[in-house]
Amino acid sequence: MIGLHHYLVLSALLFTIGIYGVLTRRNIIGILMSIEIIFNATNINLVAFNHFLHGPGLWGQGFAIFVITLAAAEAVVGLSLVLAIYRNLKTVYVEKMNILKG
Amino acid sequence: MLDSLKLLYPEIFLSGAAMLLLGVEAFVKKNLRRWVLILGCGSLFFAMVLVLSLPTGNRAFGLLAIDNFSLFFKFLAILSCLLILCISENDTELMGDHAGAYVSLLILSTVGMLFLSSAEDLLMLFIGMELTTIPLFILAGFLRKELRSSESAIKFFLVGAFSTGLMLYGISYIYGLCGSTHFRVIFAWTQSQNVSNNALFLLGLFLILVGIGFKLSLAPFHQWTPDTYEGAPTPITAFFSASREAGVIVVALRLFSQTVDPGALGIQHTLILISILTMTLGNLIALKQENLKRLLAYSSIAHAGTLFIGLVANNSLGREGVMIYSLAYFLMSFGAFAVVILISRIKKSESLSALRGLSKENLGLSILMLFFLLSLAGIPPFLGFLGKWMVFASAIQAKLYWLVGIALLNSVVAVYYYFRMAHAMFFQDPDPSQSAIPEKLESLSFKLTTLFAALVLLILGIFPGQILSWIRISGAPLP
Repeated sequence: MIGLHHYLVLSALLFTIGIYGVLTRRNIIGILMSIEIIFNATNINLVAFNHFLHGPGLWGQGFAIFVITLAAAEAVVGLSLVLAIYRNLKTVYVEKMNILKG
Repeated sequence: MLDSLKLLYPEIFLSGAAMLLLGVEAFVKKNLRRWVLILGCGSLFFAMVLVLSLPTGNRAFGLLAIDNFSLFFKFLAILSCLLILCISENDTELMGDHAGAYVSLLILSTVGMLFLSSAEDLLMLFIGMELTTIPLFILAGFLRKELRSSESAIKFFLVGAFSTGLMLYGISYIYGLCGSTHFRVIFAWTQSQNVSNNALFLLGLFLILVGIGFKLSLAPFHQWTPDTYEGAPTPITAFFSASREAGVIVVALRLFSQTVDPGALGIQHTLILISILTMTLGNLIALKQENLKRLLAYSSIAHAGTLFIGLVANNSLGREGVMIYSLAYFLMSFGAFAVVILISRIKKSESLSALRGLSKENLGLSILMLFFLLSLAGIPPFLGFLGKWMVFASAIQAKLYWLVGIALLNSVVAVYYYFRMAHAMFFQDPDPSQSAIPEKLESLSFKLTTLFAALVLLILGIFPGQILSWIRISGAPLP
């Protein structure tokens, strides 16, 4: 029987993978994907909590829909920024982005 | 339903105006810069009137509180957008071919701040924060051809999105525990449980605080700030500090005063530590900065730390202090950035040496800049002093004496780098290799907006009675 705990463990794993990815990836696209994984870990949490603890209301599921929408909006902006910096720098590796420092 | 919508007229109107401007940008081939500017300023003015005519003491959809407290910050947000719009008028890069997109993004970001200022639910907090920052990502990278702008935008984006992710994960745990994301429900839940032992609740709260910390650029989450401030177009940099202070601080204030009492949870020491760390790091690193925008960025980090004292104290005086402080901080940082914009446009340099000998080239401009610097340093009779004083007083009221002591020491350190700028302006000779600032300035909007900011800082600093009585009414959020 799959219960709340399974979902929570899954989401915690995804969250950890996401954090690990953000901290270790050097490729911007990789970091973006890791951030998306963090968002999805949140969604699993919200929906699982809603289903197992706080039904029959749908607040958590509604929240998850907002998260999905805004994550999509953020990904659009993020990818276009990646495109902009790729045109200037011809690379997507973060260690090359070092003209601003001090 | 309809009553709730009526409370959201400013947001609805401004979103409509932003969409209209985007439509103009997309479908009208001619360059309509002047019309775009008039439309943007006009709609912001009208939104200001709408905000002032809102009935207070209401809730929209149960999620957004419309009280005097939020009206103050709504007004501040719209005012900041208006002033930023005015000083970017002559910027051929920002207000060039894509003027419509630029103005509409500024307005959309302001709408996000309007939502943030009345957010009473973690859902609205999240949506407001995203609505504020997503346009800012684009605005930071608005000069697509410039590597500096793109780099600052990508750094801002990565940090912003990552912190949003962390905050959301914290929100999901709080939702799981409390069954709701509404501040009052969470508060009721914390009253019924022994929350200081509940690891899951503390983890959720910690992640939300980390998210807010990134957005407010509190140490140790501040590293993105100087890079983003330096690389972004300067009017946008001025807008960043406005949005941070006006948008994020409100929601943090509401969260602290309505939901979690740091003292009761035993996390007050952590918050005090964050505040001290932020002030000290910001001030110490600012000492050796040579780039004006970077210097102002570190000074803004230090100011964020000082503002945070008002939050840590968590009493009504602290709330009032934060309100005054954010008004003052916005006006003075706006003024300082406006002068930097003007100087760097003429001298083609953003370094400290561009300020050298300013008093010999244009005395009025240097005195204006001195006004803003004195206010930033927190020297009476300017409004910056009053804000700082009230924040410190609130900490004394909360018996946080040594926090005030360290904050005072920090203010002394801060005076050094502000006066370094003043010294360059008044006691050094101009760099002959750079073109001189003309005696008479062309730009009317620059003169109007900076004089307005300086006069407000001075007059409210000398005669604070009226504004203090307003603030006192608004300091108490809805029960």
